[in-house]
Amino acid sequence: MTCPVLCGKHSVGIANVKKEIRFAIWAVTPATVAVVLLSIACFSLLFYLCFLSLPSGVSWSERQFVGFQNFTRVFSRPETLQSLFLSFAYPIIVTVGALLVGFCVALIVVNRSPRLKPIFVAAIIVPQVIPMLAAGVMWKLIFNTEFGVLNYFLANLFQVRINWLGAASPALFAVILVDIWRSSGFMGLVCLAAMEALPKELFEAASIDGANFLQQIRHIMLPLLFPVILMACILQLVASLHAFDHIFIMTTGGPGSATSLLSLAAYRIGIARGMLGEGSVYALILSILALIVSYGPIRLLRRQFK
Amino acid sequence: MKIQKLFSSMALVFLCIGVFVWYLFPVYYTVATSLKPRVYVYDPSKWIFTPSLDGYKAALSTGVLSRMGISMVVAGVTTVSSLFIGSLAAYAIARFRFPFRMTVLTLFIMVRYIPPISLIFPLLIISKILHLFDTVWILIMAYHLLAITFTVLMMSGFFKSIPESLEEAAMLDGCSRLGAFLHITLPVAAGGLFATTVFVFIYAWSEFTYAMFLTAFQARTWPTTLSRFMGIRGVEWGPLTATTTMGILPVLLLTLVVRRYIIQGLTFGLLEVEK
Repeated sequence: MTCPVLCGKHSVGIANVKKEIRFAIWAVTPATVAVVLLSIACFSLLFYLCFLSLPSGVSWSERQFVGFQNFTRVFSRPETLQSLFLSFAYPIIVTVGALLVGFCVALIVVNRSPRLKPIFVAAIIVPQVIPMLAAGVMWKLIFNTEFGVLNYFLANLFQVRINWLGAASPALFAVILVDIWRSSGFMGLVCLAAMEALPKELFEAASIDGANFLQQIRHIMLPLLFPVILMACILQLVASLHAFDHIFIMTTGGPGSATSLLSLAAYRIGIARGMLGEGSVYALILSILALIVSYGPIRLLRRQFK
Repeated sequence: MKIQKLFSSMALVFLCIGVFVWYLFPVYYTVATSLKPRVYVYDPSKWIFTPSLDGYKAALSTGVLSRMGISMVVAGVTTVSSLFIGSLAAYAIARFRFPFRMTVLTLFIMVRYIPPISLIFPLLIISKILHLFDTVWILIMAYHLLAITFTVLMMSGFFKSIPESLEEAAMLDGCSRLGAFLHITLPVAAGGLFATTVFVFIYAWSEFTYAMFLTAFQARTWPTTLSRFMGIRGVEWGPLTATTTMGILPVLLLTLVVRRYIIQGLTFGLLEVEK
């Protein structure tokens, strides 16, 4: 018989259904209560903070309600618009870049011998699991102007030295590159797994019909991989929106505000300059942005648990 | 024809080497710099040198090990407790249709995607009010938010893939639902459970944003020490790279153990890629 409450077919009697539901609710409560309590407390407090001014550091007892003053101040700052733009552009650039690099890497790796492949996969995994902060340290060492290894090669090969983290556009390029480095691992793994799942006969048939390598990719592989790639891009977009650690350690949002995404702006205004209320406005904008983008993963999840 | 073939296979070799360089060079270069004698740290032309432990000695003298001890405590407590709470909830979500099931799931994934920097400000206030600022407890509390949601999302995928008939058989033989969960389902899902444990541990071990702004002195974890080596007097690359190496070494080793689950860990099974 099929029980209306439990998933799928069940041989447990109806008499037990009540007991089962009680177990389910009992099991799900601690996690839900913990997450709900903490997130609602944090969110309502964040919202409240946007309307407050905390004069000396974060002394809660000296708070003052200032209405929309924080909002008007934030939006009268010229950097705010730039931060908003960066927070939109950064995830998109990172996702596209990571997809291109990851796809090419997957193409290179997919047809290697089964003995070599695990070594490749291990290498691709490495940037994914290295903490973003440590990645920032590693690349800061490479991008160093005076003794960085990148400038060392550039100076020897082309006689140029670039002030990577001290000038606006190179710094932006550098922090984006670090994220692409990391995310291309994720994209590469996903593309690789999806490519391996494709039936080989398709490509054999195509090559017998005279399709060359590029045509096979364009007309067979890409259409078949499209759904997976799309979902991976959605997940990557949301993840890149969180970028903070590596930018913090590499440039702290500078020079000027060249790499100051909303997350960095929240830190610079809210913590470094101690204006908690205004920082909270940036944080609120960022979370609203994240909630909008998380609609993608939510739809994926709902489809899976239907 | 023969030359063309040789040419293309050489191009392939170069591409393969390129893949390794792209992914591994930053890691290699950091580890190599950490092993350079102090005089060579600022010299990129030095590729071959006798390794020295100068950087490590300098790092250890600043008390990095005790910071790692704190990280270990925070990560350990977070992992154990969120794994327990989270996998119970994951089991219920995977097996039963109870009221608000989808709402709970949606909420979990929304919380999963809130940027940590946004929660810094309210957590800072909460920590001051509850007098938890600069203690491990505020960190453990903050990490639970993500650790629990991650565990629920990841483990419910694993539990869903285990056939229910296994539990039914046990329950017909007189096992309770909890007994069936503990004795049948959990052991079958052991691989996934272990992978989840490792991912949660890695997260709590290397988390930076909360640790940086919710602690000041007492409860600093090892990632925060990295920014300390970037003082006003310039960056002390020797100890900095040494600390980085010590910090990522356990991460890399643990990842090697659970590499089969890495895609699931990154997407919590949201992507259905057959493997």
